[in-house]
Amino acid sequence: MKDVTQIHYDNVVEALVEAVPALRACYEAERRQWGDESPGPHVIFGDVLNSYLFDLLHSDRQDDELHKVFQFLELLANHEDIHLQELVAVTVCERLGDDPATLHRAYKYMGTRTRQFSDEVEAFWGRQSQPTSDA
Amino acid sequence: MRSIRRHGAIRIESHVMEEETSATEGPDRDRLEPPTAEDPRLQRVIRELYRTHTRIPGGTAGAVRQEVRTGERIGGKSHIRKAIERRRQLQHLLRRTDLSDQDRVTAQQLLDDLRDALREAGFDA
Repeated sequence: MKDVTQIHYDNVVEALVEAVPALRACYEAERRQWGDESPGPHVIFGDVLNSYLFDLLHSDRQDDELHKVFQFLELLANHEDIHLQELVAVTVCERLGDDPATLHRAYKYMGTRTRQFSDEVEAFWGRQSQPTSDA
Repeated sequence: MRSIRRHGAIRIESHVMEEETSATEGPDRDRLEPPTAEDPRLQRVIRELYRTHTRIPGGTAGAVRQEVRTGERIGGKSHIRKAIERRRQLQHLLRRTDLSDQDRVTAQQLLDDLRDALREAGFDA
């Protein structure tokens, strides 16, 4: 995994697939769809990472992979660049909150700052699911 | 899928297709349910744009409007960059030739909504 100081908005997708190599095939497939253009990080984090994360959270015995993904998200959540923080908050945490059961499962793996973002996101959208017992 | 044209705005709802002439001023920004699409990539965009069980209608575009109108953000974080990148994705999808007519209408309506919200935020394309 890249050191946090090496991660910037314009290389965060590459950092993501380095940290979570299982995403590379889906990422490359998405890039091919775009031809000469490049999808933005919110698109990759949403369309590629979120789908993978939901699959993991609905599978058994994926603890190691889930820890790996959430460790990377926590790195971004603690980054000084607010646009990297936004990837975690408004694309990943927001989507996890669409399904309360999935969100509750995710709490187990979230770092402190990611959990804070998740709670802030749920409050912003006015959603009811803000359990505190399994943080 | 229902497609209703009102004063130039297109409203898309599920399960029914009919024309309706009753007047509702302005674009339909406050629908509670997201549209649906046949195309899996467009459906994925919709899933990423719209939130469930929320107090704020309109998904990401609605969130941008909420930020602009109230100054409310998520711990200082904004939906604007997400909206800009999704706008570009919808523009890209609309250049494809294999979208159904209905999906094309849906994608264009989503794009227009994001454009309007971003314009309110001062981010014209």
